[in-house]
Amino acid sequence: MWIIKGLRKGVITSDYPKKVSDEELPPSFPLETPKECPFGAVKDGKLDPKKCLNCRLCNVPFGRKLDVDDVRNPLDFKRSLHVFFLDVGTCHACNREVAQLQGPYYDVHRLGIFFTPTPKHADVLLVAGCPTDGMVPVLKEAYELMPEPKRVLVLGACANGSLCRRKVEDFVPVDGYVSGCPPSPVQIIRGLLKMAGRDAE
Amino acid sequence: MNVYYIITLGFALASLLPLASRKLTYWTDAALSALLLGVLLFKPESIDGTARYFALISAIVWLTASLYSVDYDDHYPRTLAASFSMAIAGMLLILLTEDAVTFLVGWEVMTVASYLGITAKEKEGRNAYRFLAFGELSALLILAGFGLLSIQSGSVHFSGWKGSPLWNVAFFLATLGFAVKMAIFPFHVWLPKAHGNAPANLSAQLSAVLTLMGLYGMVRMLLIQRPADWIGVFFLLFGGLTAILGAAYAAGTDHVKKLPGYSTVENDGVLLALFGGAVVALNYGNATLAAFTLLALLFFAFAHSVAKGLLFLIAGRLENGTGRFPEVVRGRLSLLGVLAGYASALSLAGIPPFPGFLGEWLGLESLLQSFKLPDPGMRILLMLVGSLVALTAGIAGVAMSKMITHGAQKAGGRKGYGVEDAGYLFAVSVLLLVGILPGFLFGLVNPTVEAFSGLKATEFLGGALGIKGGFLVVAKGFGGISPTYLFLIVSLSALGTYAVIRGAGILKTRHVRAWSGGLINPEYPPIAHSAILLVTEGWLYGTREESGRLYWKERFSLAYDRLSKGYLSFSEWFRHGLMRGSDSVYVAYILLAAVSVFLYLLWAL
Repeated sequence: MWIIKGLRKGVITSDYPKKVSDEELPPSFPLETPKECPFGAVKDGKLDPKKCLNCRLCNVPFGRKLDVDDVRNPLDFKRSLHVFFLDVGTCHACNREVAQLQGPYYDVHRLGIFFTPTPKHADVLLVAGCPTDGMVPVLKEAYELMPEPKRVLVLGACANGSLCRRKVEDFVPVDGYVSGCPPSPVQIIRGLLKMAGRDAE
Repeated sequence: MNVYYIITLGFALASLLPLASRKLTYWTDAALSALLLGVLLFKPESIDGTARYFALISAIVWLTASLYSVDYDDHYPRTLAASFSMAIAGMLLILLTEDAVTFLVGWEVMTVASYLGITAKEKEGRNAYRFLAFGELSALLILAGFGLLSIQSGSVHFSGWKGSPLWNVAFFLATLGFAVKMAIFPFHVWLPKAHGNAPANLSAQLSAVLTLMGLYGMVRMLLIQRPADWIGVFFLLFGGLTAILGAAYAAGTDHVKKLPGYSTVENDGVLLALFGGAVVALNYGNATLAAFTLLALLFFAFAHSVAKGLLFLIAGRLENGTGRFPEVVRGRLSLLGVLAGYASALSLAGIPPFPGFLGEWLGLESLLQSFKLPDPGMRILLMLVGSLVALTAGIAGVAMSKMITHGAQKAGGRKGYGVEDAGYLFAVSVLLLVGILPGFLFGLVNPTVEAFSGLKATEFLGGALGIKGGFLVVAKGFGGISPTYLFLIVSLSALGTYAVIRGAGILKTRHVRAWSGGLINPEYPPIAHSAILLVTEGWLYGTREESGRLYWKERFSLAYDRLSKGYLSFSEWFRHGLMRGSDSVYVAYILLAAVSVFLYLLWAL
């Protein structure tokens, strides 16, 4: 039965990065810059989309589809990328999105992205959540153990310094940000691909 | 009355000394062992060549263990010292005797005295009882074999049994009895429990010498007359199985004294397989192979006994409380003790220049020469057992590295040297000496090998490429590889590769700590040492679960457990019916009876 059902349905893996369906796109951002934001996403009259939680407390109309990532220091890689995911204090939303990446729909293996169980094998440290006291030494240690060349990609508004006063940047050098609360899997893939020097476009 | 009987009597009398002082007993034992060693080395008259060889191995272990016990035994009851000494007397009697009755008396004295020694440690009643039960099973089998021959031939002397028509059956019964004492599969379950929980000096004696007595009995029987093929095949198969099981469990356990216990099972399995190999080789008319296999057996017995005795003594210093590895405390061993731990473990893992390496090589070389035999079935069998033994040697490395990294290495740091260090020094120097110059030992086993196959063991000593004649071990007649060359090639190529990589700068290393998932857990636990084995060989260790159903293996072990429980409760019931007292006292009566028979025999000689 399952086989027949699967055959009838055809391929279910996402076409990303060749083609992006509307459902897969990241959530909407405010159409205009709000006057003030309880979480500090507005600074000097400008919205920092990396910190926006999409909470809509600002009462500004939403509707802008915005794919925000900011990768400053990509690796010069042609092929596979090994990623170590570290949760330094999340609400578990980011974790669920990251977990989606290994599922059959997004299936990052097809793009040559692999998750490793130890930072000693990783090229990219994928960090989510606002750094808690207990996890700060672990974060530093994980960064320490990674072989060169190493990059840190930060996921979600918390880790970018929105919800709590701390951000990952305070503890380890950060090379790229992915926005969203939580970021959509497509955004994470895009951030990783950019980090690997393989631009999505 | 020759000097050996006087020494035996001395050991028996020394078992009365604990009434005054335990230390005095051990000092006496050490002095008597040293005397025995000297007499065996320099005035070997009036002793049989085979017995001399086995007594020499035993004397080395006894001297080491006695010196060790002087410091070790200061809180055990006096029975331990007494039984230690009495067991030695029993073993010497086994070695010296030429007739079956005295042999059995010695066997019983040895078993019963060891039983009383195991009970010296509190809460070990069950394990001691198990030891006694299997010991008596072996004694019964030996009695059946010997009795059959004695009745049939009308003589209790070993020499009178030659040419008996019942030889094969009696041989099988007796050697099975010896093999039970050596913990052959499926009787291997008792050994690690009993040896692992006994006081350390006694478990060194149990593992190193008591199992050696089983081997001595087998070799003794073999020298009287050669048995049929099927007995050789039986011991080949079951020896190989025992070896691989013992090795696997030794690698899997993280109990500091069960590990050497399982290692004893492994080594005894290899010895049994070699025994079977020697029988098969001789029966198919290949005297060279038979001589080589017997040489391997005897040499391996030396390597096993001395190194295992030493390892058990070290393990006795490592254990505390639970006996698990992580609780090993610093400052238990002096520098010499740590070195002794290294030496014994390396020897048991088969690393040159220790005798374990040579023993391992001899064993493999003889078992993997199956193409020398004409029968194809036998070729396959020998090849199978040879590969099992080879695998065993590999897995033993895991167990022994665990012993070193989690045990000996971490227990060092004690200032000042004690009497036990003298024992360590002695045993380590013996190991090194024999490992580097094995020729002397080959000379000692000459009479045994010659009586068995008509060839001398020293024929396998050669000389080539600048090495003096008689110093190079070669498998003359069937193989060009020598362990000396093997050692040189392996070490030179390893050093060369290292030099090339380091010199050319190919190897760039960065040292980082191990990632423990962010937990504060810098320790690499002993269970992780063998985790790969525990995971991949789940079917063997019973660590794999499969949808709540019972494995055939679990069913088997459950049935086995029930059977042993039933047997134990039956014997308990029987004992209650027969006599309602302490069984230690009862067993002591038996010992007393055995000793009086022994004294009577001495008087009668």
